[in-house]
Amino acid sequence: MLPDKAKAGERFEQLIKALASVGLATEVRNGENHSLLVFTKVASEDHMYGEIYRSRVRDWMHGVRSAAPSKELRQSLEAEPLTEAERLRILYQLITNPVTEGGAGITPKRGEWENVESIFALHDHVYNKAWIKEWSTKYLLTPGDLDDIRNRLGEKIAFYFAFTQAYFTFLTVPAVLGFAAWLLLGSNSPFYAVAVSIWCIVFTEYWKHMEGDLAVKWGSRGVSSIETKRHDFRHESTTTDPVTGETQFVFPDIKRLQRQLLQAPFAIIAVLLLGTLIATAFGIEIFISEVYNGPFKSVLVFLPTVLLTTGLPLLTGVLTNVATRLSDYENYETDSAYEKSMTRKIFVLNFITSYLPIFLTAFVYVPFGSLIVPYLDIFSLTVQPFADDDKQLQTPKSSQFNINPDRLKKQVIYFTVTAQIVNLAMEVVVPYLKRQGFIKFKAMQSQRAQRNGGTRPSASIEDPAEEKDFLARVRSEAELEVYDVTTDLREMVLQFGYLALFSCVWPLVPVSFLINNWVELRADAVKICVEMQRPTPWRADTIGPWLDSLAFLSWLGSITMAALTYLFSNDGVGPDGNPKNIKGWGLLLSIFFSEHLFLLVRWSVSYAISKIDSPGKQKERKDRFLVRQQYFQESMAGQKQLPTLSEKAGEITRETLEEEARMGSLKAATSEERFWARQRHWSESAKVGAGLIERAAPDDEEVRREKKEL
Amino acid sequence: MHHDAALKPALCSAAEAAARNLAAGAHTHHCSNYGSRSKLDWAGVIELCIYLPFILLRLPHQRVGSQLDRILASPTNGSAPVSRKEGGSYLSAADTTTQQDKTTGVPVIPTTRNRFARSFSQLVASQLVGGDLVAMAKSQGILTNMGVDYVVVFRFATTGKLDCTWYRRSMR
Repeated sequence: MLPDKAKAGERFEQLIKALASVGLATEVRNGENHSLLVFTKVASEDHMYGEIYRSRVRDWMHGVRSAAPSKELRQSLEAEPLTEAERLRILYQLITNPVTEGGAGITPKRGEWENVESIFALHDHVYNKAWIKEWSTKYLLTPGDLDDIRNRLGEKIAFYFAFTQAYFTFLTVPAVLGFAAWLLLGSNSPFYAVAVSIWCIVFTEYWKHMEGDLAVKWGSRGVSSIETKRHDFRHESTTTDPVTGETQFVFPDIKRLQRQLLQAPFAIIAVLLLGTLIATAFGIEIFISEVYNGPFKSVLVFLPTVLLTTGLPLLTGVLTNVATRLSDYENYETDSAYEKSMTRKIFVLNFITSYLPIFLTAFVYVPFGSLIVPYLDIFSLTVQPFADDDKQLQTPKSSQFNINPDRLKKQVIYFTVTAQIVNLAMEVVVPYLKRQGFIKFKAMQSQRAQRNGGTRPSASIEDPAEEKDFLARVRSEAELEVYDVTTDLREMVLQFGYLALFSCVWPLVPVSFLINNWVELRADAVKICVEMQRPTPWRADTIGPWLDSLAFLSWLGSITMAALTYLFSNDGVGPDGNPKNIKGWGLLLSIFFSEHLFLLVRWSVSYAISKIDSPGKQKERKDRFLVRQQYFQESMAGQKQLPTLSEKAGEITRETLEEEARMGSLKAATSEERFWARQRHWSESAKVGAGLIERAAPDDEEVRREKKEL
Repeated sequence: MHHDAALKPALCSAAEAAARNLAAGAHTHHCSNYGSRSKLDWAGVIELCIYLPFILLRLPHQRVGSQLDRILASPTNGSAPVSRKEGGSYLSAADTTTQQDKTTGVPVIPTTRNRFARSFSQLVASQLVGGDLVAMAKSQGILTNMGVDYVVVFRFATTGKLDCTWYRRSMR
């Protein structure tokens, strides 16, 4: 139960006051489930212009803009029109920024603002409809489409779509290669493995180049340097900056480093817990499917799936909570540092849950399956109640056991096809059905309450007629989820991982991803429009820590692809469960060679791509040139143009010489003055010099004679 | 909604077929988590990939979509008619019969690609205004945000014990 009526009223008044203090007009209406909807808009356009100017000046001071915005605001806005995303971002910051930074300091669900549940802008349904229609009627997205998203939803979301679109376009190359390899070369082809590894490097490096280019084009380069202070940051001491004289809140770096060291045990515990669960499910599955030979086998084979689908989300949830607390404990000063730390931890968890099962099959089950199987009798406990006799539970001897050579391929197919489709359904269809079901449930509950005579009046009961539909829509949007772009980015990066790490096992992996991502791009657009509240249009100049993850996966791919190719290139059958066939030195040599080749190729590709000119680079050069020119002209405008010496000096005549002699006789000349008085004009210096050359330079005959003598 | 009369039943039956395949293969999909039991119905998967958008977006709210289109297109409702390029309706009568070449203006017969894309677009558009958003399409209220920049949700209680009418009364 939240505060009582009086306290709630007091806090509400505080909220309205805070909004008014930053120039926002408010209107209040009823919301669902004991809530109020506070509608805000800027009270005056002049106030809005002031905020825009302040924001742009701040950008200039942090180096995001190359030049200061024009002091004439309307002129500035005409030169650089305000986008919807910029307007909404500035207003959101106005509401949420600390009071010291000119905002109202309203932080939803935190501290004194715990009653504030959410702050969101309303969807523009006309645009949304046009957006979905346009995207669904074209095969490829254009740069204009991405610009449009940037203008509406901000750079952060635009970067996700740009990344996915670039990834989708790039996928056509491995898709064609993969299809050809599947037809002609079969699985685990070294040619395909090398091609995909190089493709991964090219894509990662090209994306680095492209995101820099987009950041320049969208005017967001360097925004990550404008750090926003974390609300939950706790300082230990204050100090005065020796340069600026500003008060700084300090948390010692050493102390933070000590806390960061806890990440190591966290990673070990995560690996142990998740690894144990996955390995147990894996062992049970092998035991039931390949050892057990009793009743209910076809049903019992679902046991590991049940174990994983229930255990894994629970365990991941607990570990994510621990990761959040750990990040909180590390006490980062800025939001971006916190986000980066959190992303790394989440990536570790996702890496284990996504790739460990395939690692186990590829590097444990297939090579060592026959050695391990005799020890799997421990899992007989899981099916013992169903077995008729002990024979059905008896594990075979190493020599009698044959591994299932198709297991690895089928597993890769599951993760790259079935899981992708299921994921898409979970992402788009399930939330929609859930919401529809919830609405129907609420309606039924309300009807039942009405029949029983004790129903609470609906929130819409007092809505004015002309606002009814509008308020219904707002109430509906208020119940939607908040869109988190990092979830979608993570999905794409993990998908890239399957391609980089294991695609040589089944070369049609990129074909599957190509189809999936065409739908994914559009499904994400639908998700944002239908399933989510309108996202706050944040700026960004990169996809952030996910770029490091891409580079890491590319590097790891160079190792796994080499290992897989070495292990399984034996006519696609692999080492058939006999580790004696694996030469340790051969495996290590192929990994060593592949990794070094990777480093060399990466360096070359990176160097080559850095030399590519692009519209973004040109724009950056142009902006810098214009700024230099402007500053130069401004600073030189005050200087008088001095006459050149040739114009200054007059002719040497008898009168001028006499005048100089007269002036010289008035005072005793120093040796320095006499030195500079011998030649009065550049023409005199030239004449004297020519005379000296004439006298001293040898003639042609003399030169020839000297050469002969030598 | 002005569906292409010939295309719609074909798409729907294909979507149903794909859905049947999906249902038939569902047990193998579920148990295929760790590979060895997986017996994917490949025909089903390929069909599913092709028709997934149709399966996802086959909706019971097509009527509302056309209603929204009329609102968007009608100059009498107070809002300017939205052109196709500006994000307005793709579903006008002219669109569903023939299309015109952009440069010559000569009518062209829709290609399979166009029909596929258009049908997809129609279904997506219907989805967009479906469900609880139906009410929005009923008035012009959907087309405007009343000049609102942001909405702040203030929750003053989390259980049913606190009667919210006190504040409504005080607001009058």
